[in-house]
Amino acid sequence: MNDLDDLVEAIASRRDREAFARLFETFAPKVKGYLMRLGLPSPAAEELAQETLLTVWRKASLFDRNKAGASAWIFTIARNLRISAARRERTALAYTIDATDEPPPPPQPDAAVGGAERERAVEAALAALTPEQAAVLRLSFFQDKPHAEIAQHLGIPLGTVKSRVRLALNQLRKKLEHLV
Amino acid sequence: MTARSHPDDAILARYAVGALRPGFDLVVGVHLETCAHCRDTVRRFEAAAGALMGGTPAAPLSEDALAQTLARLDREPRPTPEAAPGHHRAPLVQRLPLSRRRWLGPGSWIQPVETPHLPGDRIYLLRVAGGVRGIDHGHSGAEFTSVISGALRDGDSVFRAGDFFVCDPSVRHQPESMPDDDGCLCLAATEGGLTTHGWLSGLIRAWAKV
Repeated sequence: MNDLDDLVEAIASRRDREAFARLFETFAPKVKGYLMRLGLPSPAAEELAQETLLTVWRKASLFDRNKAGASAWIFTIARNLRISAARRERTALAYTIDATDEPPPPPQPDAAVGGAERERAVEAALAALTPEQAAVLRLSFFQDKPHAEIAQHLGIPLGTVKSRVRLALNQLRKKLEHLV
Repeated sequence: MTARSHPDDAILARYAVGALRPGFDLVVGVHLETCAHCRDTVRRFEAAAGALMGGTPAAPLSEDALAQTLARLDREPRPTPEAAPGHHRAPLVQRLPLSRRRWLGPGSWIQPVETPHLPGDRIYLLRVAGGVRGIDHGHSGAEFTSVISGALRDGDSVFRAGDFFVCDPSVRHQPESMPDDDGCLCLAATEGGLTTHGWLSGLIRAWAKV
Protein backbone atom coordinates (compact mmCIF):
# COMPACT_ATOMS: atom_id res chain seq x y z
CA MET A 1 0.00 0.00 0.00
CA ASN A 2 1.15 3.48 -0.67
CA ASP A 3 -0.08 6.26 1.58
CA LEU A 4 0.08 8.96 -1.03
CA ASP A 5 -1.86 6.93 -3.59
CA ASP A 6 -4.45 6.23 -0.88
CA LEU A 7 -4.85 9.93 -0.21
CA VAL A 8 -5.64 10.69 -3.85
CA GLU A 9 -8.13 7.81 -3.91
CA ALA A 10 -9.76 9.10 -0.72
CA ILE A 11 -10.38 12.40 -2.49
CA ALA A 12 -11.79 10.59 -5.50
CA SER A 13 -14.15 8.35 -3.55
CA ARG A 14 -15.36 10.67 -0.77
CA ARG A 15 -14.03 14.20 -1.32
CA ASP A 16 -11.88 13.72 1.77
CA ARG A 17 -10.64 17.18 2.84
CA GLU A 18 -8.26 15.82 5.42
CA ALA A 19 -6.59 13.68 2.78
CA PHE A 20 -6.40 16.79 0.62
CA ALA A 21 -4.74 18.79 3.39
CA ARG A 22 -2.12 16.06 3.85
CA LEU A 23 -1.41 15.91 0.12
CA PHE A 24 -1.17 19.69 0.06
CA GLU A 25 1.37 19.74 2.85
CA THR A 26 3.43 17.02 1.20
CA PHE A 27 3.38 18.28 -2.36
CA ALA A 28 2.65 22.01 -2.56
CA PRO A 29 6.10 23.05 -1.23
CA LYS A 30 7.82 20.57 -3.57
CA VAL A 31 5.84 21.77 -6.55
CA LYS A 32 6.62 25.36 -5.67
CA GLY A 33 10.32 24.47 -5.36
CA TYR A 34 10.25 22.75 -8.75
CA LEU A 35 8.57 25.72 -10.42
CA MET A 36 11.01 28.18 -8.88
CA ARG A 37 13.93 26.12 -10.12
CA LEU A 38 12.48 26.41 -13.59
CA GLY A 39 12.65 30.17 -13.21
CA LEU A 40 9.21 31.19 -11.93
CA PRO A 41 9.18 33.99 -9.36
CA SER A 42 7.96 32.95 -5.92
CA PRO A 43 4.40 34.41 -6.03
CA ALA A 44 3.68 32.88 -9.45
CA ALA A 45 5.15 29.54 -8.33
CA GLU A 46 2.96 29.59 -5.23
CA GLU A 47 -0.15 30.37 -7.25
CA LEU A 48 0.58 27.50 -9.65
CA ALA A 49 1.36 25.15 -6.75
CA GLN A 50 -2.09 25.91 -5.31
CA GLU A 51 -3.65 25.44 -8.72
CA THR A 52 -1.85 22.09 -9.05
CA LEU A 53 -3.39 20.81 -5.84
CA LEU A 54 -6.81 22.15 -6.84
CA THR A 55 -6.46 20.19 -10.06
CA VAL A 56 -5.67 17.10 -8.00
CA TRP A 57 -8.98 17.70 -6.18
CA ARG A 58 -10.87 18.07 -9.46
CA LYS A 59 -9.27 15.21 -11.32
CA ALA A 60 -8.76 12.73 -8.50
CA SER A 61 -11.23 10.37 -10.15
CA LEU A 62 -8.88 10.07 -13.12
CA PHE A 63 -5.99 8.95 -10.93
CA ASP A 64 -4.98 5.35 -11.57
CA ARG A 65 -2.27 3.96 -9.33
CA ASN A 66 -1.53 1.27 -11.88
CA LYS A 67 -0.59 3.91 -14.38
CA ALA A 68 1.46 6.31 -12.28
CA GLY A 69 2.19 6.84 -8.62
CA ALA A 70 0.81 9.93 -6.89
CA SER A 71 4.12 11.75 -7.08
CA ALA A 72 4.58 11.27 -10.84
CA TRP A 73 0.91 12.11 -11.45
CA ILE A 74 1.02 15.34 -9.46
CA PHE A 75 4.30 16.29 -11.08
CA THR A 76 2.70 15.84 -14.50
CA ILE A 77 -0.19 18.10 -13.51
CA ALA A 78 2.24 20.78 -12.29
CA ARG A 79 4.24 20.46 -15.48
CA ASN A 80 1.13 20.83 -17.67
CA LEU A 81 -0.09 23.85 -15.74
CA ARG A 82 3.28 25.47 -16.09
CA ILE A 83 3.31 24.87 -19.84
CA SER A 84 -0.21 26.27 -20.22
CA ALA A 85 0.74 29.32 -18.18
CA ALA A 86 3.82 29.87 -20.33
CA ARG A 87 1.67 29.55 -23.44
CA ARG A 88 -0.86 32.06 -22.19
CA GLU A 89 1.97 34.45 -21.47
CA ARG A 90 3.95 34.05 -24.62
CA THR A 91 1.59 32.86 -27.31
CA ALA A 92 -2.05 32.76 -28.19
CA LEU A 93 -1.93 29.00 -28.05
CA ALA A 94 -4.86 27.71 -26.11
CA TYR A 95 -4.25 24.03 -26.66
CA THR A 96 -3.33 21.59 -23.98
CA ILE A 97 -1.69 18.23 -24.21
CA ASP A 98 -2.86 16.86 -20.96
CA ALA A 99 -1.31 13.55 -20.11
CA THR A 100 -3.78 13.17 -17.26
CA ASP A 101 -6.55 12.83 -19.85
CA GLU A 102 -4.73 10.26 -21.87
CA PRO A 103 -6.31 6.92 -22.46
CA PRO A 104 -4.60 4.32 -20.32
CA PRO A 105 -1.91 2.34 -22.08
CA PRO A 106 -2.73 -1.28 -22.91
CA PRO A 107 -2.11 -3.52 -19.91
CA GLN A 108 1.48 -4.63 -19.61
CA PRO A 109 2.25 -8.28 -18.91
CA ASP A 110 3.38 -7.25 -15.44
CA ALA A 111 0.62 -4.71 -14.85
CA ALA A 112 0.18 -6.09 -11.36
CA VAL A 113 3.01 -3.83 -10.35
CA GLY A 114 1.34 -1.05 -8.38
CA GLY A 115 2.25 2.56 -7.85
CA ALA A 116 4.36 2.01 -4.74
CA GLU A 117 6.45 -0.72 -6.28
CA ARG A 118 6.82 1.31 -9.42
CA GLU A 119 8.00 4.31 -7.48
CA ARG A 120 10.61 2.18 -5.74
CA ALA A 121 11.75 0.93 -9.14
CA VAL A 122 12.03 4.49 -10.42
CA GLU A 123 14.01 5.48 -7.37
CA ALA A 124 16.27 2.46 -7.81
CA ALA A 125 16.84 3.39 -11.44
CA LEU A 126 17.79 6.91 -10.41
CA ALA A 127 20.03 5.62 -7.63
CA ALA A 128 21.84 3.41 -10.15
CA LEU A 129 23.05 6.46 -12.07
CA THR A 130 26.56 7.65 -11.35
CA PRO A 131 26.68 10.88 -9.28
CA GLU A 132 27.97 12.66 -12.38
CA GLN A 133 25.04 11.44 -14.49
CA ALA A 134 22.58 12.37 -11.75
CA ALA A 135 24.07 15.86 -11.55
CA VAL A 136 23.67 16.58 -15.28
CA LEU A 137 20.15 15.17 -15.24
CA ARG A 138 19.13 17.32 -12.31
CA LEU A 139 20.54 20.39 -14.02
CA SER A 140 18.90 19.70 -17.36
CA PHE A 141 15.64 18.32 -15.94
CA PHE A 142 15.06 20.90 -13.29
CA GLN A 143 16.97 24.01 -14.00
CA ASP A 144 16.35 24.35 -17.68
CA LYS A 145 20.00 25.13 -18.24
CA PRO A 146 21.49 24.94 -21.71
CA HIS A 147 24.20 22.32 -21.99
CA ALA A 148 26.85 24.97 -22.45
CA GLU A 149 25.94 26.48 -19.11
CA ILE A 150 25.95 23.09 -17.39
CA ALA A 151 29.41 22.46 -18.83
CA GLN A 152 30.62 25.71 -17.35
CA HIS A 153 28.89 25.07 -14.03
CA LEU A 154 30.43 21.60 -13.66
CA GLY A 155 33.75 22.58 -15.24
CA ILE A 156 33.64 19.83 -17.87
CA PRO A 157 33.70 19.97 -21.68
CA LEU A 158 30.43 20.47 -23.56
CA GLY A 159 30.82 17.11 -25.33
CA THR A 160 31.06 15.37 -21.96
CA VAL A 161 27.80 16.98 -20.78
CA LYS A 162 26.06 15.82 -23.92
CA SER A 163 27.31 12.26 -23.67
CA ARG A 164 26.47 12.07 -19.95
CA VAL A 165 22.93 13.28 -20.56
CA ARG A 166 22.55 10.79 -23.39
CA LEU A 167 23.90 7.87 -21.35
CA ALA A 168 21.86 8.74 -18.29
CA LEU A 169 18.59 9.06 -20.22
CA ASN A 170 19.27 5.89 -22.15
CA GLN A 171 19.91 3.99 -18.93
CA LEU A 172 16.77 5.39 -17.29
CA ARG A 173 14.61 4.52 -20.26
CA LYS A 174 15.89 0.95 -20.33
CA LYS A 175 15.56 0.37 -16.62
CA LEU A 176 12.01 1.65 -16.63
CA GLU A 177 10.96 -0.22 -19.75
CA HIS A 178 8.97 -2.92 -17.98
CA LEU A 179 7.66 -0.84 -15.16
CA VAL A 180 6.26 2.38 -16.48
CA MET B 1 1.27 4.71 -38.98
CA THR B 2 4.66 3.89 -37.59
CA ALA B 3 7.13 6.71 -37.50
CA ARG B 4 10.69 6.02 -38.44
CA SER B 5 12.20 9.29 -37.35
CA HIS B 6 11.70 10.31 -33.72
CA PRO B 7 12.78 12.98 -31.25
CA ASP B 8 15.85 11.85 -29.30
CA ASP B 9 15.86 11.15 -25.56
CA ALA B 10 17.12 14.61 -24.69
CA ILE B 11 14.23 16.27 -26.52
CA LEU B 12 11.67 13.91 -24.96
CA ALA B 13 13.11 14.51 -21.49
CA ARG B 14 12.87 18.26 -21.95
CA TYR B 15 9.33 17.81 -23.24
CA ALA B 16 8.51 15.69 -20.18
CA VAL B 17 9.49 18.45 -17.78
CA GLY B 18 8.03 21.27 -19.85
CA ALA B 19 11.38 22.82 -20.68
CA LEU B 20 10.93 23.07 -24.47
CA ARG B 21 10.03 26.39 -26.08
CA PRO B 22 6.30 26.58 -26.86
CA GLY B 23 6.68 26.02 -30.61
CA PHE B 24 9.00 23.05 -30.20
CA ASP B 25 6.72 21.68 -27.52
CA LEU B 26 3.85 21.80 -29.96
CA VAL B 27 5.68 20.07 -32.80
CA VAL B 28 6.79 17.29 -30.44
CA GLY B 29 3.18 17.08 -29.18
CA VAL B 30 1.96 16.46 -32.72
CA HIS B 31 4.45 13.62 -33.10
CA LEU B 32 3.41 12.10 -29.78
CA GLU B 33 -0.23 11.95 -30.85
CA THR B 34 0.61 9.23 -33.31
CA CYS B 35 3.69 7.67 -31.71
CA ALA B 36 2.98 5.29 -28.83
CA HIS B 37 6.67 4.49 -28.57
CA CYS B 38 7.66 8.06 -27.76
CA ARG B 39 4.63 8.50 -25.47
CA ASP B 40 5.94 5.56 -23.44
CA THR B 41 9.36 7.14 -23.23
CA VAL B 42 7.84 10.44 -22.11
CA ARG B 43 5.87 8.57 -19.43
CA ARG B 44 9.10 7.02 -18.15
CA PHE B 45 10.84 10.36 -18.01
CA GLU B 46 7.81 11.86 -16.27
CA ALA B 47 8.02 9.15 -13.64
CA ALA B 48 11.73 9.82 -13.20
CA ALA B 49 11.17 13.55 -13.04
CA GLY B 50 8.37 12.99 -10.52
CA ALA B 51 10.80 11.06 -8.33
CA LEU B 52 13.47 13.72 -8.81
CA MET B 53 10.91 16.33 -7.81
CA GLY B 54 10.58 14.50 -4.49
CA GLY B 55 14.24 15.31 -3.96
CA THR B 56 14.09 18.97 -4.96
CA PRO B 57 14.34 21.40 -2.09
CA ALA B 58 10.84 22.41 -1.05
CA ALA B 59 9.98 26.10 -1.10
CA PRO B 60 7.89 27.13 1.91
CA LEU B 61 4.46 28.50 1.12
CA SER B 62 2.87 31.49 2.79
CA GLU B 63 1.26 30.59 6.08
CA ASP B 64 -2.30 30.81 4.93
CA ALA B 65 -1.74 28.94 1.64
CA LEU B 66 -3.50 25.79 2.82
CA ALA B 67 -6.39 27.75 4.34
CA GLN B 68 -6.77 29.74 1.12
CA THR B 69 -6.78 26.60 -0.98
CA LEU B 70 -9.27 24.86 1.31
CA ALA B 71 -11.52 27.91 0.99
CA ARG B 72 -11.26 27.60 -2.79
CA LEU B 73 -12.40 23.98 -2.55
CA ASP B 74 -15.70 25.24 -1.15
CA ARG B 75 -16.25 27.26 -4.27
CA GLU B 76 -15.48 24.31 -6.52
CA PRO B 77 -18.53 22.99 -8.30
CA ARG B 78 -19.40 19.47 -7.32
CA PRO B 79 -17.34 17.48 -9.80
CA THR B 80 -19.37 15.97 -12.54
CA PRO B 81 -17.91 12.69 -13.66
CA GLU B 82 -15.21 13.66 -16.11
CA ALA B 83 -15.44 12.49 -19.65
CA ALA B 84 -14.17 8.96 -19.54
CA PRO B 85 -10.44 8.80 -20.09
CA GLY B 86 -9.84 7.87 -23.65
CA HIS B 87 -12.52 10.17 -25.03
CA HIS B 88 -11.55 11.43 -28.42
CA ARG B 89 -10.51 14.96 -28.90
CA ALA B 90 -9.78 16.56 -32.20
CA PRO B 91 -6.14 16.21 -33.21
CA LEU B 92 -3.90 18.98 -31.89
CA VAL B 93 -3.42 20.44 -35.34
CA GLN B 94 -7.14 21.11 -35.64
CA ARG B 95 -7.18 22.98 -32.34
CA LEU B 96 -4.48 25.50 -33.18
CA PRO B 97 -5.22 29.21 -33.46
CA LEU B 98 -4.20 29.78 -37.07
CA SER B 99 -3.96 33.03 -38.93
CA ARG B 100 -4.92 33.47 -42.53
CA ARG B 101 -3.77 30.90 -45.06
CA ARG B 102 -1.39 32.35 -47.58
CA TRP B 103 -1.09 30.65 -50.94
CA LEU B 104 2.35 30.07 -52.27
CA GLY B 105 1.35 28.38 -55.50
CA PRO B 106 -1.13 25.75 -56.72
CA GLY B 107 -1.74 23.35 -53.83
CA SER B 108 0.87 24.97 -51.64
CA TRP B 109 0.26 27.25 -48.73
CA ILE B 110 1.56 28.35 -45.39
CA GLN B 111 -0.51 29.15 -42.34
CA PRO B 112 1.21 30.62 -39.30
CA VAL B 113 0.10 29.80 -35.78
CA GLU B 114 -0.77 33.02 -34.00
CA THR B 115 1.95 33.82 -31.54
CA PRO B 116 1.56 37.53 -30.83
CA HIS B 117 3.65 37.39 -27.68
CA LEU B 118 6.41 35.26 -29.06
CA PRO B 119 7.98 37.59 -31.59
CA GLY B 120 11.22 35.71 -32.15
CA ASP B 121 9.89 32.27 -33.01
CA ARG B 122 7.74 31.00 -35.84
CA ILE B 123 5.29 28.13 -35.85
CA TYR B 124 3.49 27.28 -39.05
CA LEU B 125 1.56 24.69 -40.95
CA LEU B 126 3.03 24.19 -44.36
CA ARG B 127 1.44 22.37 -47.24
CA VAL B 128 3.49 21.63 -50.29
CA ALA B 129 1.86 20.18 -53.41
CA GLY B 130 3.27 16.93 -54.80
CA GLY B 131 6.55 17.23 -56.62
CA VAL B 132 7.27 20.79 -55.50
CA ARG B 133 10.51 22.00 -54.10
CA GLY B 134 9.89 23.69 -50.81
CA ILE B 135 11.47 26.71 -49.40
CA ASP B 136 15.18 26.75 -49.73
CA HIS B 137 16.00 28.09 -46.33
CA GLY B 138 18.25 28.32 -43.38
CA HIS B 139 17.37 29.46 -39.89
CA SER B 140 19.03 31.33 -37.11
CA GLY B 141 18.04 28.67 -34.56
CA ALA B 142 17.01 25.02 -34.64
CA GLU B 143 13.93 23.94 -36.59
CA PHE B 144 11.58 21.13 -35.47
CA THR B 145 9.20 19.53 -37.98
CA SER B 146 6.48 16.89 -37.69
CA VAL B 147 5.05 15.44 -40.88
CA ILE B 148 1.26 15.19 -40.63
CA SER B 149 0.47 13.67 -44.00
CA GLY B 150 2.25 12.86 -47.20
CA ALA B 151 6.00 12.69 -47.36
CA LEU B 152 8.90 14.95 -48.01
CA ARG B 153 12.52 14.55 -48.87
CA ASP B 154 15.35 16.61 -47.53
CA GLY B 155 18.65 15.63 -49.09
CA ASP B 156 18.94 11.87 -48.76
CA SER B 157 16.33 11.50 -46.05
CA VAL B 158 12.64 10.83 -46.63
CA PHE B 159 10.18 11.73 -43.88
CA ARG B 160 6.67 10.35 -43.86
CA ALA B 161 3.47 10.97 -41.91
CA GLY B 162 4.22 10.70 -38.18
CA ASP B 163 7.93 11.40 -38.57
CA PHE B 164 9.69 14.08 -36.60
CA PHE B 165 13.00 15.68 -37.46
CA VAL B 166 15.26 18.47 -36.33
CA CYS B 167 17.35 20.64 -38.60
CA ASP B 168 20.47 22.15 -37.31
CA PRO B 169 20.73 25.94 -37.56
CA SER B 170 23.95 25.71 -39.54
CA VAL B 171 22.31 23.75 -42.36
CA ARG B 172 20.69 25.48 -45.26
CA HIS B 173 18.22 23.03 -46.67
CA GLN B 174 15.43 22.62 -49.14
CA PRO B 175 12.81 20.04 -48.34
CA GLU B 176 10.74 18.88 -51.29
CA SER B 177 7.56 16.86 -51.52
CA MET B 178 7.62 13.50 -53.25
CA PRO B 179 6.81 13.69 -56.95
CA ASP B 180 4.05 11.04 -57.00
CA ASP B 181 2.42 12.21 -53.85
CA ASP B 182 -0.64 14.21 -53.11
CA GLY B 183 1.54 16.65 -51.34
CA CYS B 184 2.73 17.01 -47.83
CA LEU B 185 1.39 18.73 -44.74
CA CYS B 186 3.69 19.45 -41.84
CA LEU B 187 3.92 21.54 -38.72
CA ALA B 188 7.23 23.28 -38.21
CA ALA B 189 8.63 25.59 -35.56
CA THR B 190 11.79 27.59 -35.66
CA GLU B 191 13.68 29.32 -32.95
CA GLY B 192 14.29 32.70 -34.49
CA GLY B 193 13.08 33.63 -37.97
CA LEU B 194 13.83 31.95 -41.24
CA THR B 195 16.32 33.15 -43.73
CA THR B 196 15.07 32.20 -47.13
CA HIS B 197 16.66 31.82 -50.50
CA GLY B 198 15.39 30.94 -53.93
CA TRP B 199 12.17 31.60 -55.73
CA LEU B 200 9.82 31.48 -52.78
CA SER B 201 11.73 33.83 -50.61
CA GLY B 202 10.06 36.98 -51.86
CA LEU B 203 6.59 35.54 -51.38
CA ILE B 204 7.39 34.17 -48.01
CA ARG B 205 8.94 37.34 -46.72
CA ALA B 206 6.24 39.60 -48.05
CA TRP B 207 3.19 37.51 -47.20
CA ALA B 208 3.89 35.02 -44.54
CA LYS B 209 6.39 37.06 -42.57
CA VAL B 210 7.92 33.75 -41.57
